[in-house]
Amino acid sequence: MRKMTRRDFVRNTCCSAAAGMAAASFSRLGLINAMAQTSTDYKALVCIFLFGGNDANNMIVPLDSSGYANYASLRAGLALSQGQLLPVTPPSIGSPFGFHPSLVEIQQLFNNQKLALLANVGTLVQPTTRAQFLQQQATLPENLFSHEDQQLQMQSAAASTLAPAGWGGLLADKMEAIYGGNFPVAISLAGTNLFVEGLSMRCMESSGNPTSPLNGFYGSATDNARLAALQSLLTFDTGLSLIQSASSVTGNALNDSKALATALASNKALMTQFPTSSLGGQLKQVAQIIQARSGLGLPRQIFFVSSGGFDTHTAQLPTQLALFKDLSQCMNAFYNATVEIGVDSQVTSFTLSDFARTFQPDSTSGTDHAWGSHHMIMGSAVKGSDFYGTFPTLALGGPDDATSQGRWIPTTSLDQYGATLAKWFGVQASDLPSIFSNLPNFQNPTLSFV
Amino acid sequence: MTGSLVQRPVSRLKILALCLGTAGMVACGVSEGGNHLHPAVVVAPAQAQIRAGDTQQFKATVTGITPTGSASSTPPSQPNPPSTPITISQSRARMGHAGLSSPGPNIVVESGDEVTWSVNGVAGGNATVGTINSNGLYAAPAVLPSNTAITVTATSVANLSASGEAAVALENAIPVVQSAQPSSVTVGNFTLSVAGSKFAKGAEVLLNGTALQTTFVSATQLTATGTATQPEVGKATITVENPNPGAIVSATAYALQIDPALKVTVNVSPATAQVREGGTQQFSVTVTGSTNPAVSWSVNGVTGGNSSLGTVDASGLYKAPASLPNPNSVTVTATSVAASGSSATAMVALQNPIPLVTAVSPNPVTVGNFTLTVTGTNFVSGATVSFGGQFLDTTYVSSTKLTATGTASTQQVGSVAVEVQNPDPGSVESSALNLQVSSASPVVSAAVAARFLEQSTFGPTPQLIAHVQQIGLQAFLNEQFTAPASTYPALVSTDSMSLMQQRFFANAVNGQDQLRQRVALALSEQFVISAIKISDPTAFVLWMNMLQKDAFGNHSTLLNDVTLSPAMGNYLDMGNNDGCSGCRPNENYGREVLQLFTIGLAQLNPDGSPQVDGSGNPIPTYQQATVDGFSDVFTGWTYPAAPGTTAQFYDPLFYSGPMIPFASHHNTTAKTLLDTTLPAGNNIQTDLNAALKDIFNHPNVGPFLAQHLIQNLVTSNPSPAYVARVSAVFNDNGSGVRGDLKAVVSAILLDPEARRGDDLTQVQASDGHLKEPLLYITNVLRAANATTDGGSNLQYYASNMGQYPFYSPSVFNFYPPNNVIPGTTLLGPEFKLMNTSTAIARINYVNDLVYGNVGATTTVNLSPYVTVAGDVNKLLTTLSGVMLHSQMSSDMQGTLASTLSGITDLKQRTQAAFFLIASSSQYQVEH
Repeated sequence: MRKMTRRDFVRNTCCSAAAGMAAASFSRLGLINAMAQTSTDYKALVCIFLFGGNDANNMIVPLDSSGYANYASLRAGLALSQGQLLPVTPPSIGSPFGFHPSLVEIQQLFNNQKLALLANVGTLVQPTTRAQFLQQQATLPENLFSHEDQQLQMQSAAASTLAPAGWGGLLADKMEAIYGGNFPVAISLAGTNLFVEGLSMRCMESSGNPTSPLNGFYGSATDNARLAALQSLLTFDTGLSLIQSASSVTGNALNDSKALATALASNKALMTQFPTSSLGGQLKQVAQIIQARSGLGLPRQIFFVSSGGFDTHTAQLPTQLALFKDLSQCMNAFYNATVEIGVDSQVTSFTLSDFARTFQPDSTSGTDHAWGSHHMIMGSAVKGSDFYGTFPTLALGGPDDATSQGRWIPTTSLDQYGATLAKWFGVQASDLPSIFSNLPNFQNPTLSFV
Repeated sequence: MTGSLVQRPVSRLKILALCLGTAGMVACGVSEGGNHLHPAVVVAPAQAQIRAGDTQQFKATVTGITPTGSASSTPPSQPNPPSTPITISQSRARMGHAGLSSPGPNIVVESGDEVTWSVNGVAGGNATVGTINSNGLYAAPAVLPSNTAITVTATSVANLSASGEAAVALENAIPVVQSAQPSSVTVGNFTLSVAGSKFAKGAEVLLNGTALQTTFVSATQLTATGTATQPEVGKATITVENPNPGAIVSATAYALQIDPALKVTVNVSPATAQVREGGTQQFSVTVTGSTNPAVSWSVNGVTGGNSSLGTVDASGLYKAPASLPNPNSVTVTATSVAASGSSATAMVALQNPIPLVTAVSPNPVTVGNFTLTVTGTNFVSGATVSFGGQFLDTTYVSSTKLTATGTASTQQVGSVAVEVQNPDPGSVESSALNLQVSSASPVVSAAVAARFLEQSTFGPTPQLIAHVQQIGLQAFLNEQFTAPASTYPALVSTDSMSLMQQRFFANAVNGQDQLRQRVALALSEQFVISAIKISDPTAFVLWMNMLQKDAFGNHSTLLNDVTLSPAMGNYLDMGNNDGCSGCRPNENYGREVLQLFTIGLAQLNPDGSPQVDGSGNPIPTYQQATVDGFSDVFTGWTYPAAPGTTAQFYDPLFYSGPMIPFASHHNTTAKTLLDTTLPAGNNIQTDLNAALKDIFNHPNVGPFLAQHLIQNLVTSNPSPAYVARVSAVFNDNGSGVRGDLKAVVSAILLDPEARRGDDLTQVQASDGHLKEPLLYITNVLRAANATTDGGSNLQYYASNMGQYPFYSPSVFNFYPPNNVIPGTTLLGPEFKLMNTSTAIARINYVNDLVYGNVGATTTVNLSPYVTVAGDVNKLLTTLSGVMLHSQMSSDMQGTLASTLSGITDLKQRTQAAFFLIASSSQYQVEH
């Protein structure tokens, strides 16, 4: 997309990414006296973003006989076989459902009350019906079905793709009242992502090893002089914004990687084994950073990790088979690590994705971009073993379908999803709309899954 | 082989024969007339030669003694075997007669004829002189007595005064040879041990009849020494000769094998060699004819050689001396340790080394007289510098430095080859280094040229800066538009993608078609495919060839080639997209070709800003129905048929050639597009052409493309006016043609906003763009005068910086065009890849390049900078000229100067300077 109005975005606060910049006035964001927590009261949120638009229609499937029959008939070549689905029975619905056969550990976590499912959640400006959608009588999120826009909106909880910050970053901003340190609260292990970028607090983003050292400096006089010159150059005011930004990222990188390396050095090695996939590696890094939270002096942490490849226009069955297996094993390993560290009640993980996919398959054994999806929330604080939100009616052109290919209009908004997590995290109810701008449009600002 | 000597009894008949036929045989008893008889004993034979150990039968005839019978002169008659055994008296027993054995046919026993036998007066003889029995059988001793004349006497028993004698001459026995040890000898000295029997003291061993020096060991063993000669090779006869008395050679012999002598020879290879000063030559040697292969090496007779002739070690490795000796040839000799007379020699001709030129200063020079300093290695006194093939007046400074004076003419403006030629022996020229000759009045300044090159190439070089200075920006663009495209290797599906990645780097660093490659890279980041999904590198060869070919063509051609590319057909699922009735076609290409490749989501003004409706909201360019329409158009296309196969719908993946249509799988419903509605029943190709034209003519295409290319080449935040100017050129290149990419690229690079920053005072805060990893890596390599074949590690450095070549994480490219720099309102697409780990990876890349290496096949050459490093500020301005288009800020220069002055080693100073500039944000952000 080609939006230029981001430049016109009027902001009250100063640039947040510059090194060492202290918090500006946050009166606009509200006081956080309810957040006067002691530093021993630790909480962390971990966002697991599934890039590409995960087809949640095959992640959780009705297992009651008529529900399954309907599913199988409409999904045709993409339908999973009944016997392979991993059964769960959410008490709030009272009828059986089945997880995708690869989600073995997810099923166990669900049955052990450590995992909940939020049904049919997605970007929404206001509650929207099919009729309203078709008659264009509701304000809709911008550019539905566009990967980039929906990814940014899911991460920013803004209806506009031009949001300057992610809601994880905004949560981190809220921590300023109880955190006086200089290490970022919000950390992405999946490269640069809007989710962790706030307005006042500095975030940390890494796509590789976040503690990678600077090579070639061995402490000789020449080396020290050279390092000093390198660091000095980073502080110059060149008058060019892009140079300043590059210097800022580099300067922060040198400081943060060193500080993190120091903090991690006192970690005991984790016994929990993680899968060696990209997601596994990222979640392992999260676990290690959580382990080092005291050394970093962080009372709150927000993490962002990702798994890619969910844009299954073709070959959906084999692709999801592998992706879900990895997701299940990685999430389970991470949960076990939080148990090992002793913070399983204090760490809540949750999934997000661009959108879901058409219930009706396309002609190439895949699906196209859709909307409302099902997501999972995990942790000992979660009221697991149940579904939340409203499960959609799985009918093409049915009451929940925005089109006739099975693109479910969300019955729960991303704002409500995020607000529930934020509230658990410690944000006051009155502050939630400042982060989740569409929240006032919904009757129940928060849900009860955590 | 033993001889046998048969004891042959002397027959009586022979005695009688002797008796009758031979005068003077007393034993015959022939009277000599008269009847006078007196007693006499005649012994026959009267004389005998008897060998040691042999026997001799004597007969005694007694005459003149009348026994009870008459004397008879008749010869004794046939012997009558005694009817009764003879009783042997004691005296007879002493004669050693066995007694009871039958006497044998040659015993004459006559009564009255009885005699007693004695040897040398000893009755019966003894062991020393031999024994004789009562029958007259004499047995010679095995060992001869000192006096070998023996007397055998027969004394009449009846008349003790009557006796007869035989004179016996004892002789040595006939020796018997049984064997010899060893059984074979080699020509030369030998010792032989001969076994046999009847060897007498003084016996000699004979070799082919010639006596050897013999030692008597015993009667059964002799030892002999001798020398076998070459003519005697073969079987030699070994016999033994007993000495006198009765010297006689054995009848038996031993066949001794005499083998030819071994000769030691030495061979050295090669027989001749040419070795340059400081070089080496490995010689190999073989030694035959000895079990000892050791040789000793020498040079000109000096064992091991020396520092003036060159040395040779025990393995035969010859090392030429550091300077040539006079004369400049030596001999290398290998001598056999086993046979010092055997050796072999190789001739070595020594030559001057091959010179290497690493830097020429100053570079560039201006037309007119110049003095060059040529830096390199292996220069020899007498070396000459050539400039454009012409030899210059050269002064030898050292083996690493020459100076030369010359004149550059106006005809030589541009690149001129500078080489160094060492003199004979082995005169040879170095490879060439290009010297830029500038005309006295360049068209643009060095700084302007450098900044233009930052925008239009993968990095300025001093030569290219000088070149652009001479011809100006437009002329350089014209050269670039006609430069032939760099090639990608012909790969097969099982090849690794790393070959594509390496060639990308090689082409970017070395290729002449810099701008074409820049534009192709930019297009590949707008029209995206990824090796994450496509594993066959042939797809990428064809894809990059297509982008390079179309980079300066028309956008409509590009759009068509992209749409029908099997690589794109695979990546976004248009390949084998089936338009069967009732099927829902795949929407991937239908959606992304609009959203990402051509028009975007919102209607744009020509200046790139989004149009807004009455409520201030952006206006979408298309609806879902449009996506459906295009998706329907893009049905029925499949991959070309591989050679030898028949084309069919659902052809398997094959990348050579455009996709092919199958009408029977094409959706024939009506299709709503952007500005067109296609009627039902259209031909598949008609639908495609119309759909692509529908897209091509959309007013968004110009500003959408302009924005993207400007961001890639010049600045992340172009002004709307800049975008508008470029869009206008896209819409009409000045000759009424829409979509002229060459005109668009020219417009982008020559636009006043692109050139504004040439003047330092006109640079604005939002100017510039961060070098994406591929641009950063190649820029640093070119600034460092790198020689590379693409290396084997460069793609990993790029990966650590977030851009693994050809592996875009999604169809949105490595970074989106509208990425906002965190904490700002500015666009910075490349900043999407700038984070904690990638920022450090960038610096570490420069560290490896400057202080280590970035792969075995990539080398950097900082020596042109080292040449000027003696003056810190000159070093900085030189580097700034190449890397910062001479716009290094004074505070940056001051900080660097103060750090660098503390480094006295010029190479380390240069390294530190290059490192600090290359890793700086000032360099990473082109502005």
